[in-house]
Amino acid sequence: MKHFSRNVVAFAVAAASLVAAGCTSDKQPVDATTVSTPDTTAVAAPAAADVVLVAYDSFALPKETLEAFKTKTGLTVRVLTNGDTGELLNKAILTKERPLGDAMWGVDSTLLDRAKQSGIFEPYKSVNAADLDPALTALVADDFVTPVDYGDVCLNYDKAALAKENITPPASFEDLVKPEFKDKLVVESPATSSPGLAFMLGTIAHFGPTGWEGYWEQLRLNGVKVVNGWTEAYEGAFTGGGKDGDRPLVVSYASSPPAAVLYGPDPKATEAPTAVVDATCFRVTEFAGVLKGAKNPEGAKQLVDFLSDTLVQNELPLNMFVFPANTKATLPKLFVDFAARPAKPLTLTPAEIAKGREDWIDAWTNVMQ
Amino acid sequence: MDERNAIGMSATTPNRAFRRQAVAAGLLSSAVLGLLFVYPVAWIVVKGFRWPTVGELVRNRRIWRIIWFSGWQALASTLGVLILATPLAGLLAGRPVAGRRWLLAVIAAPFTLPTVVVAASFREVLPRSLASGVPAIISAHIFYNLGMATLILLPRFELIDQTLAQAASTLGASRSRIHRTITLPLVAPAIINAALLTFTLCFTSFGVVLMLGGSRRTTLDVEIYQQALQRSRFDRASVLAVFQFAVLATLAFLSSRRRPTALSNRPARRPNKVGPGSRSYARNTLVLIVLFFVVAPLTALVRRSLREPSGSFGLENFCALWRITKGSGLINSPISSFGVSARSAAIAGTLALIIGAGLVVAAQEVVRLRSTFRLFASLPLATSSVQLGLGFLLAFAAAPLAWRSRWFAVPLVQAVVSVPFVVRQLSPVLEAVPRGLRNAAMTLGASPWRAWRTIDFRLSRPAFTSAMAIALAISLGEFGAATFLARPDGPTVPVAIARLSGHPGDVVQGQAAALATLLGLVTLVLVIVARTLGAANPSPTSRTLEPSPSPSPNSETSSITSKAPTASKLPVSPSQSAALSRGAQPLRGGQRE
Repeated sequence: MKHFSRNVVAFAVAAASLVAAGCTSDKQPVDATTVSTPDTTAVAAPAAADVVLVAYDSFALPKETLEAFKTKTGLTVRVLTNGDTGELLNKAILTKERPLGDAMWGVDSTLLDRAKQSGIFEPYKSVNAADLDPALTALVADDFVTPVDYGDVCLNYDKAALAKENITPPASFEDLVKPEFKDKLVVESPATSSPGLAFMLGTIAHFGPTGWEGYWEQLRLNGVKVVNGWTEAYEGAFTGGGKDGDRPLVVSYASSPPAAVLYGPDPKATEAPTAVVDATCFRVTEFAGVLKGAKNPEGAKQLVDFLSDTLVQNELPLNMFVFPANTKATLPKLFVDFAARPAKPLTLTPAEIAKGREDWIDAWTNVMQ
Repeated sequence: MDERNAIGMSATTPNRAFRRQAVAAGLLSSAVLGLLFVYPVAWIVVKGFRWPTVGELVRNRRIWRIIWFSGWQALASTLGVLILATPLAGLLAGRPVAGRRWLLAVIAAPFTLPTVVVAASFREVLPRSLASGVPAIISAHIFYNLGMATLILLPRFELIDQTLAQAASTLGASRSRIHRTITLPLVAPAIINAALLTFTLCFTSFGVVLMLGGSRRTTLDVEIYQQALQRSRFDRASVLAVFQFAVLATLAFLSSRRRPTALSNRPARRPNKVGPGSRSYARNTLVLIVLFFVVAPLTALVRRSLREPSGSFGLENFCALWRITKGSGLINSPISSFGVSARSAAIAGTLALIIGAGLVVAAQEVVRLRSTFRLFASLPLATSSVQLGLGFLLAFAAAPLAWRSRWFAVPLVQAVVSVPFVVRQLSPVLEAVPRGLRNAAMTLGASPWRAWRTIDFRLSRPAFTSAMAIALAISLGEFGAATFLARPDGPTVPVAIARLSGHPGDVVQGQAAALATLLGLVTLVLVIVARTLGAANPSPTSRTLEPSPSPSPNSETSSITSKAPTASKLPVSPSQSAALSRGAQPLRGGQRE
């Protein structure tokens, strides 16, 4: 019997090494979204880095931009992505005794109060503060974080999918409860997702503190699908995102149409495959800051300066599909052409959000689950 | 104590020296468990729990819905398990031994798999419309617990004295009447045991519900996780955890009151030889249905892991595990999670082995403290690992014990979770080692530690190896606590699988299936090693291992995985008890020499 178990182990090891051997040959990534790691045996070994930037999953900047930081300061940056905005902040709070990195990108205006109360940030005023949109810097009077971008969370729709069924696209929140949109909408849960939270806040800003719950009740009856995060909603359930999607309406960003063009079949298209319902847009601002207990606080400060500098800010639209906070940054043509810029986005002040958020999420989950 | 007298005066002194060290080891182990288990749990109860939050939650309709759902899905799963397991055990009780062993092994396999792997399998086997929601959850629970319940019921069926049924039949009773008036009443205690166990496991189900429940279906454990990690409402998470303690304690109390009653004072009976006929037809049909139910999901998972993004079949998904994929939710390559898990499991296993051995040796040497040490060793079974993870997160937040964000937090919790299973493996074997040998060694001048190492440890080494294999399997599959404590830059394998599964895209989903398949294979290998070594054991334990549900390496549901394997609650089959007396007698005799 002993031999038997030894044989089982030997077999397992042999099988594993066979697979490993078959894989280590220099295979090219299977598609554009895959990158191969140089070191196939790397076991969570962090690359040597001077500054670690913690950010949400969808954080992206071109390699050259990060290299520019190295030329400027002599410091290498490692970006450590970590879930959605809400998850990112919670993990940062739970690991504050041993922070995951030196600086953080991605706290947004819907969670600003929690970030402040938890004391995970070391107040720092960016050298570029004067160039930043004063409407955004006003949100953080004490400079505990620095605004770096803003965007609107809005209802998006897949033009072709709606046209195929001869449905006129919705123009307002109210339209979504009409019978023609039954089982057509997918949203993210405000309990687990930041665009989900922003969309819910939008309905509160629009319907007021007494009417919004009834609206969600109607949405539920009209077959709204709730998922946990943006990726699951946009790339999983939305017809205009992934290939398995079956919902032509999704909660996403005002900047999703340019992204749909850029990553669509024809990056030079003159019309975007998706569009935004302006009346549903809720404004969200994102911030970066220095983490308390950073191993390299000076490097973290330099990084925050860099992130609010036009060098990075110019890259934001096409890499993260957000609008730069720096007023001196220039917008690319794709953005000017396709990104929605609602004249009067819905808003709530950080104070209002801080006061109501937890109760609102409870009320929402009560209605929806 | 009487053994000591029997040994004679000359052996008293070495025995006392050994006992002192054994007590020291036991106390040290208890202290470590106290710090790693009692302290975090007490933290939840004393500091996390707030009365105003209780009021707030009681008024919250959704919490009631969650409790209601936790309860009814567990009840439905339990009914499903019993409906399949009872006739299966009844029919298998008359099956020839050879095929039976393999059949039992196959049926028991799901129970040894990590819940994340089970969930991943059901995502693949069910049609898309059913792949998330209540049907998926309940069928996964049935799949997971079916073998465990069958193995609890089977020995009970075999104990039924067939002459009763024959007599009834001679007197003209119909088959259904025999079932109703003889068979069912006799197996009822085992059915209730199996039901309590299944209910507890499903009530605290975490991985399966998290992965298959969508955003609407939530059990208490999942809600604890969401309130704590997604909303930072630790007060609510604590109150819910305390409520869950209460439920688990009640269930444990209920099942501890059910001692199996004697069924028959006849000697052990081989499985019935039942002639062919309508019964064997029914039996074969049932066996085929169950086999399909067990094999189909696992096959679907393996199949998915081999289906490449291009549509053809091959190993591409496994190769993709070495690559970082954008939008996969992981920072490092998925395979690197195996490195994290391997390190964590190795540390957890070693620590659990040391703690477990300390408790077992102390319990064995000091009769008066025996029940205390035993109770201590089984304590971690009274919580789910989600609760433990929460306790760690809260209790180990501030200096000097700011451990929660350190890499070693995960192995520490996994060690705690593994201790009861390690103790269960070690205890009968270590107790069976003749003390005379050790005493002789010490009389000849060996230190207590050296005597233990060269005699007790060496003689029971297979048990240590199989205990280690089980601890490794448990730690590798542990999901609840790791969800709370794994650092984002170092997820364990189950955490990585769950993250990958939550992200769309063919490449990522392929990686998830491949990683789940690998984890399932590794776990099965470890369980096979544990079992064959257990079977090769010269000691009586081996016997209890074979047909008993192997300890579930899925520890998030530890709460009663706990109860399943504890020998006392498992009706011991005739062959087992025979082996027990055969094996134990000579050894006990040896002690007296």
